[in-house]
Amino acid sequence: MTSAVERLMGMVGTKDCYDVAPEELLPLQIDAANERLQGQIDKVGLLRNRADSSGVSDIKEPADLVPLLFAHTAYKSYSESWLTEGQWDRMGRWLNAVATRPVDGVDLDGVETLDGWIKQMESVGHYLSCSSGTTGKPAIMSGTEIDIEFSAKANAAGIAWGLGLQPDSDRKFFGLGPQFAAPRENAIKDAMIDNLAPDVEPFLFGAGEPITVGAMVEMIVLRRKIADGTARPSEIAEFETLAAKRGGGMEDAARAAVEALTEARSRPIMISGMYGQLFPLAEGVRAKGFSGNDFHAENAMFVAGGLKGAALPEDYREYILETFNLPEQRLYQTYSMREINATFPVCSASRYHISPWVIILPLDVTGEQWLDAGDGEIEARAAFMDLSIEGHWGGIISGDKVSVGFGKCGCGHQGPTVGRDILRFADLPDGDKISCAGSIDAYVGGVS
Amino acid sequence: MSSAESQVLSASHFVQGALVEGNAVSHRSRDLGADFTTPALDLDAIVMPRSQLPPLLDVKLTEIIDFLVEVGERLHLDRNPYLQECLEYIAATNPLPRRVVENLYREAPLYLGRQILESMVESNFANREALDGWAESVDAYGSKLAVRAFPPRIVHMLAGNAPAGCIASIAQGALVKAVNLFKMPSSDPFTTVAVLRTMADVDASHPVVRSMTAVYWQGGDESIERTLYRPQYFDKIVAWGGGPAINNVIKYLGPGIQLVSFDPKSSISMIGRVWSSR
Repeated sequence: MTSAVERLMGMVGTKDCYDVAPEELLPLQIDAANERLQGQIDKVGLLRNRADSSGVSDIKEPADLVPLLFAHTAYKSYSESWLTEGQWDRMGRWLNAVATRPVDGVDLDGVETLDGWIKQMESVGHYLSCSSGTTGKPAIMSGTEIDIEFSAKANAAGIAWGLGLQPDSDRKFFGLGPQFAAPRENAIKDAMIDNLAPDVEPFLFGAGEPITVGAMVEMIVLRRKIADGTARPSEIAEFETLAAKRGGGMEDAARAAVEALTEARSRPIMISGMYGQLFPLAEGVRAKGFSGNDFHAENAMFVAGGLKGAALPEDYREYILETFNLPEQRLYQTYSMREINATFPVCSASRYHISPWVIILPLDVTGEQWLDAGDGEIEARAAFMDLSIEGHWGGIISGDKVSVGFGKCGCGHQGPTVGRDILRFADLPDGDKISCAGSIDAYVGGVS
Repeated sequence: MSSAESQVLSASHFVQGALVEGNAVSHRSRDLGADFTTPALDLDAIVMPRSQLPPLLDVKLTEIIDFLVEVGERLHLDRNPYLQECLEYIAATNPLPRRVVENLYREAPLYLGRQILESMVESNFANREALDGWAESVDAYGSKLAVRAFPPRIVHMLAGNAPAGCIASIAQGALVKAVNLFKMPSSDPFTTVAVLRTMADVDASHPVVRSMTAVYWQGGDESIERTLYRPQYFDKIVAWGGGPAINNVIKYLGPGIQLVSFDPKSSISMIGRVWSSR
């Protein structure tokens, strides 16, 4: 018999997967949540801890999931010095408390860098996904082969749904964002190419080596060391040299990208990138005398993330869209987070649609109470139970303040949706007052 | 340092009391185009981290002056092999005639005379007690204040046109109990190290000596200056030099790192009747 989890995951890519009434889907989702709970409770230490302390061993309704959710900080609850000082055995013991697969049999001999540790972890079936952690330490989540495959598939299917795109043998894919050397990111990129532009050689923005998680984390750590005054001069000098080298390579890569974009102007293109990088490329294209009228009418674009600190003119968005002949409805946007496999595509009514393999749980500010929205709209802290996740527990309380609706969306589709305006509690005057974070830190922090 | 003329000149570094020799890096002097080599620059070694207290923090001013005076007595050119050696090398890098340099070197002991050091303190500090501890006073409103000078961390950008001038900078750095990094000029990458070696011969472990580092890099080398000229390492850049040298430093200034500039000034000379009639 097919399990509830399998039935939900089987909906990915189907035509009506974003058009199911919540009450119709819920019984299957509750079954799947129980399957995940039973399958992971004896494997994920923190889940056992949450279940024991709350007395929840069986899920009957969405509210039962609340005490079992992990705070988004749970995946950052390791001690930063373990990471910076390369105490991989301790990192392993920490990860063991938040991963489904046991962390054992890892050969740490000769492992010196974070990249080295990540590689060793892959050899024992832990595919680590790390948040970029632009301001703090990165969240680290363990995923399995199935998680990677499913993330990629769900993302590609989301784009196809959101933009109404079919594979086109003439379409060329432009990966214009930073290229990361991580299995999940690679799979997501490959799936986009396979599903949308399978026949034309893709263009991937590249200035030499793709960025590794280790290199990114080293940069974050050094920035903080500079800020708190503990960075040694040689560390700064080394970083400056590397940054200058990368900067030089970036210019060449940008020239190549502008060249390739203008060359492909007569065919449909699919651009994937971030605003900060896309803007100078659009400027480059305009400087060569090309703009909207020269580009194909069926272009599409996928923009991930916000501005990430890039200082751009106010009309940067319009400028980019106009340059590549992109009407608003061909711009794909999505709401997601590293902690989950799912991405939620935006619809023509500007709302994010929650995938059927995810239960969205509107919570109060502290993240303790489930809020019953009925079939209406409610302001809440967003929490999710992503039933597709195998490598770690899928229940997560985010740091996002959202407006969740359970009624039929303006675009005509059923299913829960989230409004376009998403705020981060951390950016609000009161800060992020998530209440279970402390107890989770205490539990996971005790692994040393 | 090497003496044979056919060989490339070698300028040593001095790092917190220790002589560092080597010829890993080649340079060309700005004024005369002379080639010379230096050891590789170990940035971590030449910057004393802020987690380490300045060695002179609790050393009394009188003890510092006593030590400097003792060093001064050893700076007589006729008896100082380091200065004698310098005099030979500097001809290759410095546009000043040898005779002028020799005269300047003969004045070296004067920079560290007790009287001049005392007057340096007296003319610069309203209350010298503040250099050794909390100096109390009462302000116009009757509030009691206590002031204490805390040793700064200083980069001294030395000028090449006065080879003995570095001794005054060394004295000033010691009197304010600073942690000092002397950046030597290409026209004289020798004298500062010669003076500091003389100092180390008196007592290499003395806190004054441990507060002194003298190295050479080409002025304006961004890979070094962008790294060093940061408030986390230094409080002040004391710069002696021409317009371009000062302008180069200005771009590194910001909160926490300031410039003490001895830059080109507009000046006039008045020549009196007595001289014009000669």
